[in-house]
Amino acid sequence: MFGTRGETTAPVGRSLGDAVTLMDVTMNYGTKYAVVHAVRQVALGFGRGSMTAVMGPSGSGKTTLLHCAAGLIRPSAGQVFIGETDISRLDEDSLARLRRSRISMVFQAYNLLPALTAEQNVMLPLRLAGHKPPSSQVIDALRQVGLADRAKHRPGQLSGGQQQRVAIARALITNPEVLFADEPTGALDVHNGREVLSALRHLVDVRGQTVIMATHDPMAAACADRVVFLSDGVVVAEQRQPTPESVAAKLAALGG
Amino acid sequence: MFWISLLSVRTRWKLFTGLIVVVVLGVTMLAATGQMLLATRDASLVRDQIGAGRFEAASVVVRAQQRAHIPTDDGETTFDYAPLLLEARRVPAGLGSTVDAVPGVRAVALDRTFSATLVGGADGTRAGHGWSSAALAPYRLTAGNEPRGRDEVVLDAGTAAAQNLEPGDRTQVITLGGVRDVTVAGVAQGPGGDGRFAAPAVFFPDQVAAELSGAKDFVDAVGVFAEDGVAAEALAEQLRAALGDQSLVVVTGTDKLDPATVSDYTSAVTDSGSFLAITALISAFVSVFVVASTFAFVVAQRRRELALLRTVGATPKQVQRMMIGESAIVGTLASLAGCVLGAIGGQVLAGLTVSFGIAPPGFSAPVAPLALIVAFLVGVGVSVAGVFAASRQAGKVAAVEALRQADVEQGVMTRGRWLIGIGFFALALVMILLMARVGGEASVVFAIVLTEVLVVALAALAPLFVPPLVWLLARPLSAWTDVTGLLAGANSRSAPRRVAALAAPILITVAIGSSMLGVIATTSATAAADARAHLSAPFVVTASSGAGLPQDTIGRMRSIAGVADVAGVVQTNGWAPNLGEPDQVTMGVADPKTLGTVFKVAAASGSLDAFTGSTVVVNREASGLLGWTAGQQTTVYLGDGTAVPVTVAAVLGADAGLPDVLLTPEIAAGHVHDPLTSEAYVTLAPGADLDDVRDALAELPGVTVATSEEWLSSQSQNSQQDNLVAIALLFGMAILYTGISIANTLAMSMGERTEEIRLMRRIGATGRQITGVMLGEIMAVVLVGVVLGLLVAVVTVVGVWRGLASTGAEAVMDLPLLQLIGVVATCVVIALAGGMVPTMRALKVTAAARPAE
Ligand SMILES: Nc1ncnc2c1ncn2[C@@H]1O[C@H](COP(=O)(O)OP(=O)(O)O)[C@@H](O)[C@H]1O
Ligand SMILES: [Mg+2]
Repeated sequence: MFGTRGETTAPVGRSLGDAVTLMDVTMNYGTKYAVVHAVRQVALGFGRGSMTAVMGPSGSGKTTLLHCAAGLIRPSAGQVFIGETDISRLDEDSLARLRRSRISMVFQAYNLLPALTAEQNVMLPLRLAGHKPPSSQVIDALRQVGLADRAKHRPGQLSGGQQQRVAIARALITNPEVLFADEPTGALDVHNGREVLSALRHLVDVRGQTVIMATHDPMAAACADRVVFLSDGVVVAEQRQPTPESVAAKLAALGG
Repeated sequence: MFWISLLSVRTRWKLFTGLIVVVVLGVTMLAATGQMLLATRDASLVRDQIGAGRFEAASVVVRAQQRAHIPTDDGETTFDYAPLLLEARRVPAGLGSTVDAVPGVRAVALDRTFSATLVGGADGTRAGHGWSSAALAPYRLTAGNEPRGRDEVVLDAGTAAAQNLEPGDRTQVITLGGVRDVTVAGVAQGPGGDGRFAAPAVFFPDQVAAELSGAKDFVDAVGVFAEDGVAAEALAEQLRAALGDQSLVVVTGTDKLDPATVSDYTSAVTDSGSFLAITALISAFVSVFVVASTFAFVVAQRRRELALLRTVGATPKQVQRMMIGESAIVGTLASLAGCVLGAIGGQVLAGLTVSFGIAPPGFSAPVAPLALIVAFLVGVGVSVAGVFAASRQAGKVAAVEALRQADVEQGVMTRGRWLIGIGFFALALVMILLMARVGGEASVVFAIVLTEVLVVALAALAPLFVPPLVWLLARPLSAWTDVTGLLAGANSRSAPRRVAALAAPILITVAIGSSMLGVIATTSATAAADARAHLSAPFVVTASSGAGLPQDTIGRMRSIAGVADVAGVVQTNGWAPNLGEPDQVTMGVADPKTLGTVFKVAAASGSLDAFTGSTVVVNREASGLLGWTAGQQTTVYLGDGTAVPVTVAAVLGADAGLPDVLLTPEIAAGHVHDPLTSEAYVTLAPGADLDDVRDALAELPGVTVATSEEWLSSQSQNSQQDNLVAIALLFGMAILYTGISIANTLAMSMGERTEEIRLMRRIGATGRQITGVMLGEIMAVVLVGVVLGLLVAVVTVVGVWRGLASTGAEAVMDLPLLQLIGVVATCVVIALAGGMVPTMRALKVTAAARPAE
């Protein structure tokens, strides 16, 4: 099921300190040729105010796991809790409301609407929810990712790293319980990638934000408080206080 | 690279389906209208459609030579101009027995053709014949019996059915001699039962027919039946030899039908041909425009994909070749399909024009290979050309674009757009200036081309108009909605090329529809204003059938107490020499005494008092065309070819709705077969009671009485009504096509935007909000298309108005608001319906990523 080396205490049910809880989540994709078991019976809890990296080779099920956890797709079996809410039972519009208030997401690329400025992109979730945030709040969110001076720029005028940071600022502005990031540094060079990671780390350390990040980059994973290793849709290992070296070694051992 | 073309046609099938739909329908429209147009131009085809008509059963027909001889002298050469007579020449009735005596002749039947119309009927006027001529067709009785008594008639089946008459019914017939009460004795089925053209016919007993024709001792034709075993051609030869008269013609086959009927039919077909030419012109323009812009749009949609090709090393040339290859494949297949549909469509359309009354009954449009070939070549050519221009730009797309975050459109106003926009705009300006010089009628023709030139100019410049127009729309929208208005505005403003491309079909629909409506309203308002300015009679009396008022009725109107005078103009046609060459002109026979009392017309030069005896009066426009001045001596040729030397008594200061040339009754006497007056203008004696006179007038049989105001408004309404029917057909076809292309381009525009919508979903937009954004964007597209389209229409109408004003008449500009709103509303509804497609697709986009991510 989970943690072969017994170095962690697995949550059998739900722990109150967890922002997100997956209970025996299974996700199968039915294709024309066969059924793909992308995620199999994963049970995990993600503690509040911590940063967790979901690590694994390409195709191991990271994205699927994140999408289930964030309510983007409904798992084939199992339950997902955001805080106390069982989101596997919500309808599409309730999920939309959930997405704009309690969780936020940052993706590998294409995070911003090209027609809107950085500022407008950041305020979008709140405006969709029917609020009109004061511009100080928007600038503040941008400041937290170091981009207060780029408020009026459109995505096309920003570097890849800056675009990702704007996406993080947007993820922040709703003050979400959890921030999901799917390979946020995947399309970036080392320098830009580091900027994005430190912005995320900053959120956890300063604001006590919960961050769950999928990545296949040991450098990125090492920024997290805890790393969960995924292989063929199954959690095969876990590390706390990881270093790039320990993560790389573990990955190599898993044959990724 | 060809295999890539084939592959991309397969993989981007959604885009290509859109293209194929547009090309197929465009080519269908081209082929169908082209086929119709050719059918109206093919004289022998048109001739076959009526055959020998009423003379089908006769072996040979003998009648008078029907050509005028007008000697002409253009200064260098003299030649004989021999147009068909406008008033038929007749032969002495005695010719019948001469012909009968020729060996080989079994029997003869005399044909008299004269004015006779059922009260309430609107069909051709010269329907009266003697019953013995029925054998020439033959008309066979299907009910009742032949006409025996003086007040009995036999009707052809079509006329009887149209008026719902059966043997025994009583009705009234308007003839030259007045309105007659008649009884339907029988109904006869003649030629044309097989759906071919059949002129209406009212048969009288021969004796009565001779009286009613107004020329007792003359007949229009002698129909000859050959003895058994005698060939028609041989008999004709024999008759020619026996008669030996140059003024007679002896004809067989389809020539047996009288030239007047043939020319009535052919001119009805030609008239519909000029309408169809406009339809063809517009549909050709619409389909070329829509196909070319759709191809260009698709190229723009595929920039990323093309950039990807460039990253793997394709040269700009290769990219361009690939796209041209694709468009050639799509264009060829779709054009072939379009030709098949067009061949059928042409026939359907021909049927529609007949049932809309645009073309005469019997008109059909057989498959015309030429039209199909042209439509096919245009289809393929425009597909390739549309891509060619766009692909040169797109071929150069930088490889890095494939990797970059989608950005707002930049450099949208390319040099090509500026060149086309400014070039066509300049052309439009020149046309508007010219319209002020060419006069009323020509400027209406100019208007159609002007509209199209302006459409191209504004379509090219449209991206310039997008940001300000969207700004106008977005302000209230973002105030009233949460964030959807803001998003729709930002999306639209950042993609002026896309919005302009989507607005193009709306632009062209609104422009053409509104221009046509505006031009028609303006010309008929101007004509009405002109007539109003020159009419002083309080009442206008018209015949309640399609024919005119006989002299007898006019006489009875004069004798009504309280009526001061009744004036009318008998319409006929003739020729007037124009720089040595005769021009056909409309002529009117008017009573000089009453001309000045019912019409407020003044002589610009000369004097109306001099209008007596061998003089003519010419209206303003014709005097300009013919170069006539008061006092000048010239020769006019009447409809039967008679040359009359005349003096120009006066040149009128306006056209006043009068014919080109006015003749005195003395000149016209005996030369006009049907002296029927289409409208009689009634003036009142001092102190007469309006209502009493009106009631007395209305009691006359077969007349419709109207005050001049009622008459004027019904005139302009009728002309507008006729035009509206034609427009409905034409516009219906174009709007169907553009409607489909609106839906089509909107649907195609979705492909590129899936990511954007997915992102909105992920940030938490609800279905309602996504619908709101899509609606807002569609409204922006509609706004741009409608505003630019109306702009085109207004400029066109102003151009026509200036053209009309240049003739000196008081021109009235009229923009029929209700009709324009109708056009715009139709476009909005179609755009919204079309917008459903992309909105539904947008709603299907889920927040979850594709596996590739
Ligand atoms: N929508 C889908 N339909 C079918 N198979 C999918 C779909 N999404 C992902 N998969 C498959 O599920 C597995 C896990 O994919 P994914 O979660 O994207 O892995 P990762 O993000 O770790 O690369 C892969 O084998 C992938 O091919
Ligand atoms: Mg992934």
